[in-house]
Amino acid sequence: MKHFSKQARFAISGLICLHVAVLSAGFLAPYDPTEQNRSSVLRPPSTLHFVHLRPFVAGADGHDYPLRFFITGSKYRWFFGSSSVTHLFGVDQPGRVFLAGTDEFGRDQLSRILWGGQISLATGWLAALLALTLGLGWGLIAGFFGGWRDTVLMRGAELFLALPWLYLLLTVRAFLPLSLSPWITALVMALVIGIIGWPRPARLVRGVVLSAKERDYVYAARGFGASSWHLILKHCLPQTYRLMATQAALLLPQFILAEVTLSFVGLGVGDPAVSWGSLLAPLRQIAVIGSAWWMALPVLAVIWTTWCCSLLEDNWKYTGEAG
Amino acid sequence: MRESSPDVLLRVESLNAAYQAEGGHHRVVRDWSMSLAGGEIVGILGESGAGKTTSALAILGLLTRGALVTGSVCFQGIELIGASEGTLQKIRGAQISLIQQEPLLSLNPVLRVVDQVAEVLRAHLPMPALERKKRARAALQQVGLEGEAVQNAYPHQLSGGQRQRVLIAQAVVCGPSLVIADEPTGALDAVSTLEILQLLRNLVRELHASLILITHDPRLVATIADRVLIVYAGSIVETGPAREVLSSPLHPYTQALLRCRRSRLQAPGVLHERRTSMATSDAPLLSVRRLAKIFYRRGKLAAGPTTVRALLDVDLELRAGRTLAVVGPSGAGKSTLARCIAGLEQPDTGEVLLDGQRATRDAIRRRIQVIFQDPGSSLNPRFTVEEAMAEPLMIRTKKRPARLEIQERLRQIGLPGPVASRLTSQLSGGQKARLALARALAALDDRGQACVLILDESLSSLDLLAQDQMIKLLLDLQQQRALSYILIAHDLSLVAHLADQMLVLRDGRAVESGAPQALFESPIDADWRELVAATRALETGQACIDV
Amino acid sequence: MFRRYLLRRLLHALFLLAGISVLSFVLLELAPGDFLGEAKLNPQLGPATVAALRQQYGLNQSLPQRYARWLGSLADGSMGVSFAYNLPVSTLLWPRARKTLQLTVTALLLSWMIALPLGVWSAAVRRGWLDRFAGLATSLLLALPDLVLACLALFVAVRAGWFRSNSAVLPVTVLVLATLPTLLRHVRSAIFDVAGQAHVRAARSQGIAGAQLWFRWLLPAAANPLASLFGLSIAGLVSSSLLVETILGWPGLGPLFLEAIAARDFYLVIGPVMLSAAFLIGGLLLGDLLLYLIDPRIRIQT
Repeated sequence: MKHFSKQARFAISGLICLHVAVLSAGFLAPYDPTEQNRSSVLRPPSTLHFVHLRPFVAGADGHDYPLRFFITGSKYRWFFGSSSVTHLFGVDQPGRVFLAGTDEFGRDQLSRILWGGQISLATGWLAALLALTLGLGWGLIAGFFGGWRDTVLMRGAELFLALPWLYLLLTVRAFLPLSLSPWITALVMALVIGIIGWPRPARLVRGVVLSAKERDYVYAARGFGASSWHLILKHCLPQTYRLMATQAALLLPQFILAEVTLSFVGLGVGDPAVSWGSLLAPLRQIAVIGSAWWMALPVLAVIWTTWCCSLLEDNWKYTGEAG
Repeated sequence: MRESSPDVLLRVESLNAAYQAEGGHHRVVRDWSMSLAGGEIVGILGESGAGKTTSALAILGLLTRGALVTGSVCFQGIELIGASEGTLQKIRGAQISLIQQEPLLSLNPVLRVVDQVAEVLRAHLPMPALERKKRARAALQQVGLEGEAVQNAYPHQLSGGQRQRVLIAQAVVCGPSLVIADEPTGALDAVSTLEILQLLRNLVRELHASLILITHDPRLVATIADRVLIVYAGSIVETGPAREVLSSPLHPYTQALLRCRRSRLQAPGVLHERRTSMATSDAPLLSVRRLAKIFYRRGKLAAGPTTVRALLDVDLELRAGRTLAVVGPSGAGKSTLARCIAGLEQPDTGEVLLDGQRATRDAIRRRIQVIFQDPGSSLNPRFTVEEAMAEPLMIRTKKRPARLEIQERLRQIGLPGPVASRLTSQLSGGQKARLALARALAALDDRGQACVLILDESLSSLDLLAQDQMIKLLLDLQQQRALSYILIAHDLSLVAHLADQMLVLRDGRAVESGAPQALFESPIDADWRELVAATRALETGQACIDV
Repeated sequence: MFRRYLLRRLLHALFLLAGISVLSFVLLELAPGDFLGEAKLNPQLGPATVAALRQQYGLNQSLPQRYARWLGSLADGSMGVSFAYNLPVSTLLWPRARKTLQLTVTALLLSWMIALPLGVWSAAVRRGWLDRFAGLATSLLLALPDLVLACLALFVAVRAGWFRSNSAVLPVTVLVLATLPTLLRHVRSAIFDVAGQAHVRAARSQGIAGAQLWFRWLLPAAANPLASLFGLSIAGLVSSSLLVETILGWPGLGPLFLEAIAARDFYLVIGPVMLSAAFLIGGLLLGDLLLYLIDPRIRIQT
């Protein structure tokens, strides 16, 4: 860590915190994301008032409910399987604490933001992994061997890049069934986004490989009788590391955004699953902004992600790297 | 001698230039003091990295912001160190011109050559556009670039020598009082080198200007300089009239430098005579018969739309333990020949025979290896020395070589233990060359069969002392293992005294071949004769006799 | 020579468009269900009527046949028929396309007119307060994706009471804010790269400075990366416009496209795709032509 610049360290910590929070959504969120409260529809965020430094929430019935920590609540499952009922904070029944307000079904926005992050981030990561792997693989092969493989790469990439990415994304998404189970949808989205996204890193990798291929040390190794794989793996691949790192920092937020956009326009996950995009979908009606401003709070989660990633991309100064 | 005006044009006192580096400041120019009179030609001689170019940049205030420059540089009464950018800008190009290295990179690719010269005029002397163009054309004619075709060309359409002349035209068009030429004859052959030197001298004389010639080659200094400054590791170690310093050097570094040069062209083929007494087998190790190769270039460079490069009808024979030198101007086909012999290219016609038989590609690879022009670039900068050494062994034997073997091989070429874990990019030029040599040797099969090593201009990029070390190493190896060498170079003096046979190529054809002695004393081909004469002239510094 | 180059690029562009059309057709063909399956038709319509409708719309023809028909419809200008609206696609598209063009062209011109001088200025004068401010603003804006920007802009506009649904000011502002930061960054870094190149240093050593250096050395050398940047900026702009139109309620291609996707209105989906691709390819072509005019190395090679 000490090899990174200060800003990069901040960005990495920010991202780690985000991921930890999202992964422990069950623990951090006071409520189940699908739990509806018909009596608390479209409530603004609960205000906490402090009495002797202890936080309280005013209940609908006039009573004050103290904020409790490590409280027993609804059951949830951790990412790795085991389930639990302990939540970080909450209030006793029948009080409710909605730190981010509720939506039109009375569901707690904070819990939904935390849980929604799982799908958004997972999709982004998966898509990024797919795009980078495909891009790296094909870029290496096309750049090194040339010939028809290279032509296929360049023509294909050109085709993909000649369409504005959002139009392409929506078109490709459109050809899949519109309603699937949420995790399958997330997987499908990741696949689609990844497949749309591979041309850019592939072209960049190809460029790096093309110039690496012409280096004298590759000629020298060829003269010694090296096999193509030796040349690719030992000489060309290491040249792509820096590129891959910056591409990762670039593509991750883009792909998370792609998922958010898809869900926002209704082509991603829908009820009962949550993602940041579907949380923002109600904002398509202009009236919502005027009357229920807290519905825009999920935006903060998105901004946090993109900001940290863009800081990272700018300040990727790893001083420990060799020539 | 030429007359020089007594007043001092440039006075440098305690010039220091340092760069910000990891461990503090890295001083590149240390305490330089010199003075230059009008009309003088001064040579600054030293190895690359000694701070010569940096000093020129420091004088003109062209170093990057991270550099620290102290001292005093007084030009015609104006103090240059610390002067404002505006003052400096007026002086640059108009009163002090700098001819930089690497002509291709220094020219603007989107401007025609005549326009580029005109732009320099535009920056300094107000005059109507037509007049400007006329003057630009005149300047180009002065440097030998005549004719609308050449003058209206773009830089990438010209040859290396022509581009160098454009830079010179740009430097003199405003009539400066001082011209600084930084390695103006880079990779040029002897004939072109002589021409450029004479051009510079004549131009400077016409302008009544002074010239500072920065170079690593003592021959250039001997040819045209009045005085010389010898630079070593950033400091000036010796100075004085050129003739005196070069004939009787006082400082040990200068002595070492000149010793290398002196022994070279003394007697071509000297080693050959010493070796013919050694017994060898009759049959040639390597024979090349009627080799031909044609390339079709979709031309953007050099001559015309489609350049056809060829090797035509080249024969040669090489015996074990002998050295063949292949010389010729650039573009003659020397590298192509090397690659065809080494099996890296397929010739169109003709054959390459090893021990009298056609060999498979694997067999060729095990017995013939090539080291290319810039040995340093044949090393992956991310590899450590050990990894680089292990690579050819691993490729050949298909298993990881033992640590001891690697260390032994490294030791044999003078790279002892602790160097092994360093990155190759951290080695000096000479060390890199030796490592490249060791790698090529490692790729050769050492089962006792005679092998051939082709060195394609491998020595040209090295400093004189490093060249000397390499040559000693090569000679030792040849004795120990009966290696045969094919040395390719455009610098005659370098290979003349090493070679048993010589082959002169021009435009893909062999125009002369035979023992070096004969080739030097009774040359047949006209161009070859010119080249030999020019080389002799440079070596002995005869060229400046004519006035 | 220029005409030959232009012809070659035009042909290339046409090939691309053809390829995209085939790609889109194939992709949409793979979609399960079609308009008549997904649409909420009157449940009283019997299967016979549905079959007849299928026949009428040509939904039961094979893919090549439909592609051929569509190509024919391009010739007569209708670009297929929208099932949902029962109108030729072109009648629905052109007014929308005009609206989208209004936005994107204005935003493109504005952002380049701001980014180019600002980028050049900030690369030239590296320590001014304006440079630092611009840098900060850029980083901030870069962290806000266009989706978020549009929502935030909407939020502010509605709360402040500025919002007018037929004014282009808000959408254009959002688009410019979305594309400006990356553009500025790239212009600045392109100029920096160029300033460090050998021939620029050589020119400085010859005493060339100021406007002369900029116009004859720096800008022409930066033309190459800037021309390709032009193409990229158009691509980003078109995608962003889809979102901005949707969020801010601008009647452009975007909302229509989304509607058509949800309804599986085949030809109405293909239409906007082709139009947006054509716009992008046109922009890339313009960039190539500009480069041709500026860089003689390209002229010599072709």
